[in-house]
Amino acid sequence: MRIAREQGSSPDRGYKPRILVKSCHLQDHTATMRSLVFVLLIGAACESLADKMRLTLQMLISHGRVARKMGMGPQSRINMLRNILTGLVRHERIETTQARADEVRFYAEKLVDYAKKGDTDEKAMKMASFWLTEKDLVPKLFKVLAPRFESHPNGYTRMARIPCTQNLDRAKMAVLEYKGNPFPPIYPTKKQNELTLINQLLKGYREERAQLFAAKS
Amino acid sequence: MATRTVCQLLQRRYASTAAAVRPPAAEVRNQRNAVFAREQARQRALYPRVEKIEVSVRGPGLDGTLLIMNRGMSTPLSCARHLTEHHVTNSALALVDGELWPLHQPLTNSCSLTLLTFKDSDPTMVNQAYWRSCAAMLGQVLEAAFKDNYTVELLSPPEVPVTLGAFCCDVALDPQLDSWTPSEETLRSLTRGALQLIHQDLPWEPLEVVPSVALEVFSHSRFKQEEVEQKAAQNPKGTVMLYRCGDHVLLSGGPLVARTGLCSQFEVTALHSLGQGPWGLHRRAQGVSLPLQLPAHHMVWRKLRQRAEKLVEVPRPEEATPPSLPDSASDQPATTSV
Repeated sequence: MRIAREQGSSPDRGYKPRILVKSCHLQDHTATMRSLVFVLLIGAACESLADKMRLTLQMLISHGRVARKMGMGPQSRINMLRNILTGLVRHERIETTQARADEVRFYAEKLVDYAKKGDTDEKAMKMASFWLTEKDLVPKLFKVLAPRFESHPNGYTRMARIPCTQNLDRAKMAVLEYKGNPFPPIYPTKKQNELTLINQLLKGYREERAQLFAAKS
Repeated sequence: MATRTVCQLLQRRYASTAAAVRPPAAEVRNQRNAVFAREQARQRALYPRVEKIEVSVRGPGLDGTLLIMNRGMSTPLSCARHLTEHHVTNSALALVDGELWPLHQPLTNSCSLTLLTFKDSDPTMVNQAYWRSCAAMLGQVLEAAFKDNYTVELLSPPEVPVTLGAFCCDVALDPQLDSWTPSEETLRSLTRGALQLIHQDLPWEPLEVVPSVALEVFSHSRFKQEEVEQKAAQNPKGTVMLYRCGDHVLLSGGPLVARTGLCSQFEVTALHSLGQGPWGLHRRAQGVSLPLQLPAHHMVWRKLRQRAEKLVEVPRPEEATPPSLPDSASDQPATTSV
């Protein structure tokens, strides 16, 4: 099974290398809180900061906030997702961390929705050229992926969680793929043997039923 | 016992005892058994000293296994015992040097052995052997089912492809039973008899004999003697294969599976009358069965049983196209997957 690793070519990779023990897919809130408390303490001295933002307790508590933070900020996050998405469009099946795969899924499907509009559409072309950092993939998106998913209303991607044994930091990995790719399936189906006794009996039964049905009509 | 149940159900009591042309069934059985046992002992005594042969076993995960077995004593089953319990319980037939070999027949030369199960990638031969064994078991049950004063003549069971849905055993009953029609309870009691045989887990012991010994075994049955001659003429070696299951000796056209315990679901579904033949009123007993390794859900089993109740038209190779009756399950022979 050929699973390609994500490759980024954009200058701002946006993610930290995996050698660090702290898993970099989820922001560490304790660090944020500590830094904010530190800011608050210093805030008395830095009045300019207090002029710019309202320093509330809600900022420190993140109950119910579902949006993930990745990398070094929102721009870094988008760049990282762009790299991963480019890798997905190029290879059609990639292996990343579970959180990144989950994030990219939304953008991957939206990209295909835009591609379905056709390459004459200006907005679609702008989106494609922004999100795909390697420009030779733009024709692939419009000419290969969009026609493939013409009959699908939604659900162009499949994500499968895999066990993480190779990583040093034991980050949870997942495989993300576009449906209809040429690789063998992630979940292989066991084929029933047609020639076993019970299948032969059932085959005879079905043929007889079909004959009777044909004779009736 | 199935005999007692069927006798209770058969309400016919004739005043005059039918002149027994042949001795009672028990005596016939004992005589056949005795001849079989004698011939088996004689064949075993041909190898007084233990000679070794090399058997190389083929199979998934077994390639390259070499077993040193005894000539004339070791059977493919004993080779399986050297492997694993899974092989012992699941193997139904063996392939020795490309030839189908019953599991209980002794090996005579160094050879390559493959154990066949019901779940192989190509179990066609095993399916046919299983169908033949089920027909043989049906014949055995029919023979034991009737009272001693009624003769039961087992005719040669036709070779039925598995896709027709039922195995059949042709039988010609006593002329006194010509107007007897079997009821549902009769069929159920026959089924119970067969299930008892399955529960006893009797092995089918094969024996290759010269026609003269086979003629002696079947000395009370003219039909069987003709059949022996026919089979001996067809066989290039001139010998005839006899099988013994419990105390019933039978003649078979091909190899049978190892033992009765391999079947799990067994049902005698119908007993059709075919018409007058040279031996009396021909009746065709039909049944359907599945092995232990391939269980069926009760819904599926019910459908298969209903199909097996219909008369099965055996496709004859002499006719160009078999006649298709509206209530017969006749398929073209080409549908058998080979």
